[in-house]
Amino acid sequence: MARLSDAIRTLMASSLGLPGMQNLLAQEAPDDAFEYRYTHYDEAPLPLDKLAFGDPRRYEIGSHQFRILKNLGDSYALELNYLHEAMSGSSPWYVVPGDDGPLQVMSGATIRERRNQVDISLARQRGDFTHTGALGYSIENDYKALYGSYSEERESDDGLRTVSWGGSYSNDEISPTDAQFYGRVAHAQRDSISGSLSMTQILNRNAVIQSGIGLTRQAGFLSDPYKQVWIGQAVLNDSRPDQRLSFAWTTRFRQYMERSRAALVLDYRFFRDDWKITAHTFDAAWRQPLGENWEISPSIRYYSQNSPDFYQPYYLVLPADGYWSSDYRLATFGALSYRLKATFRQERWSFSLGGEYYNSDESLAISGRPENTPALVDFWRVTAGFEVNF
Amino acid sequence: MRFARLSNEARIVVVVLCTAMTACAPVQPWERGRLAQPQMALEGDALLSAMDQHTYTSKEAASGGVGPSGGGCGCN
Repeated sequence: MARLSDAIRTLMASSLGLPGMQNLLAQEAPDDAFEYRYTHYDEAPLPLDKLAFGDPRRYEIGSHQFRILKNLGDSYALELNYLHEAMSGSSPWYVVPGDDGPLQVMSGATIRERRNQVDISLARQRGDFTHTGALGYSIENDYKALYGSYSEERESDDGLRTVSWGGSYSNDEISPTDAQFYGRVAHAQRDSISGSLSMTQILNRNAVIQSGIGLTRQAGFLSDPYKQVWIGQAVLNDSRPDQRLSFAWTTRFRQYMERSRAALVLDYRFFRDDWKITAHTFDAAWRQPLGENWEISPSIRYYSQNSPDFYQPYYLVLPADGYWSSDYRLATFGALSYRLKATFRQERWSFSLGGEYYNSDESLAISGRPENTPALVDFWRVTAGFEVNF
Repeated sequence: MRFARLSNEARIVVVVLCTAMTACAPVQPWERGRLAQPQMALEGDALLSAMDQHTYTSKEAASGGVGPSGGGCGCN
C-alpha cells in the first residue's frame, strides 16, 4: 500500500475523532473506507403508577448509519454520511397532580415518524493547516434542519500539539402535525450559531489529552410544540425563552497501559447555560485488546443536570414571567449508563457489537431541587456495525 | 481571571490540565506507535460517537462537546 499523504491521514484522524492527531503519529491509515451501523433503541414503558392516562409504551427507534470516506488526490478528502431513522411510540404530553404525586399524561395514539439526514464534508491540507467545510440536511415529516460548519487545525512545529477551531450554523423549521386541532404553533423557526476551540497535546509516549470549549447561541422558537403544561386546571402550550446561550468545556484523557496493552479512557464535560442549567458528564472506559484481533471495552457514563427556573411538573398559579415547561428532559435528574462493546479487527475490515443500559432518576442528581418528575426515562440500546477499508 | 473566582468545576479542570501539562515529555515520531493504537483513539468509532451524541442530546438538557455542532431534530 502506497504511503498516504498527510492530508488523508489528517482527515482520517478527524473522522476517527482525533483532530490533527494522525499528523503526529508514525502509523499509516487506510485510504478509503465504507462504514455501516445499525442501532436499536428501546425505552422502558412508563410505570402504571405514574400514568394519568394515555399509552405507557414509549419510544422505539431503529437507526441505519452509512459513511463513505474517499481521498481525492494528495490534498483533499471527501466524507459522506447518511442516517435513516424509523421511530414509533408514545410521547410524554403534560403532567397532572395525583393523590400520591405528579402523574404523566402520555399521547394516546402511537407516533410513527421517519427521519433522513445527509451531510458531506471536504477537507484540504495546506502546510501545517487543515481546513474542513461541511454541509448537512435533516428532514422528517414535521421538522427540517439545514446546517453548515467550517473548522481549521494547525499542528505545532514540534508535532506534539494540535489546535483546532471552528464554527457552525443551523436553521431549523418546525411544522407540527395536527397543529390546528391541538392549538399548536403552525410553523416556527430557530437558528443556532456555535463556535469551538480545542487543543490536543501528546503528553508522553503513552498519554494524550484533549481539551476544548464550545459556545452556542440559539434564538427563535425554542419551546416543544408537542408538550403542554397543567396550570391551575388549565392546560397551556410549553413556553420557553426565545434565546439560549450555552457553554461546554470538554476534556478527554487517554492513557496506554503497557502491561495489559489496554487504554484507560477518561472524559469530562461541564455544561452551563443562561437558563441556569448546569450539567456534568463523566465517562470512563477500559479498552482491552484480546489477542491480535479482538478488543473488549466496558464503560460507564454518569450524567447530572439541574432544572431551569421555568420547569415544574405542573403549576398551581400562572408564572408571571410567561415561561413554563413540564418536559422531563429539563428536570433535575442524574443518569447512569452501563455499556459494553466488542470489536473484531482484520487488516482491511472490522466488526463491532455493543449494548447500553441507561437509567435516570432524581436521586442520582448532584444538585437541584426535588421535583418528583414522573417521566424520567430508562432505555437500552444494541448496536452492530462494520467498516471496510480500501 | 483569578483562580479563586472560578467555579469549583473550573478549578478542577484547571488543576487537571496544569498537572497534565507538567507531565509532557518530548516524543519522537517513531515513539508514537502506542498512541496510534485503536484503543487510544479520542473518538473511537465515528458512527457510534455520532449516535451517542444524538441520543444523549435528545434526552438530556446539555449538549455540545469538542468540535462544531451538527443540525437538530424534532426528537421528542
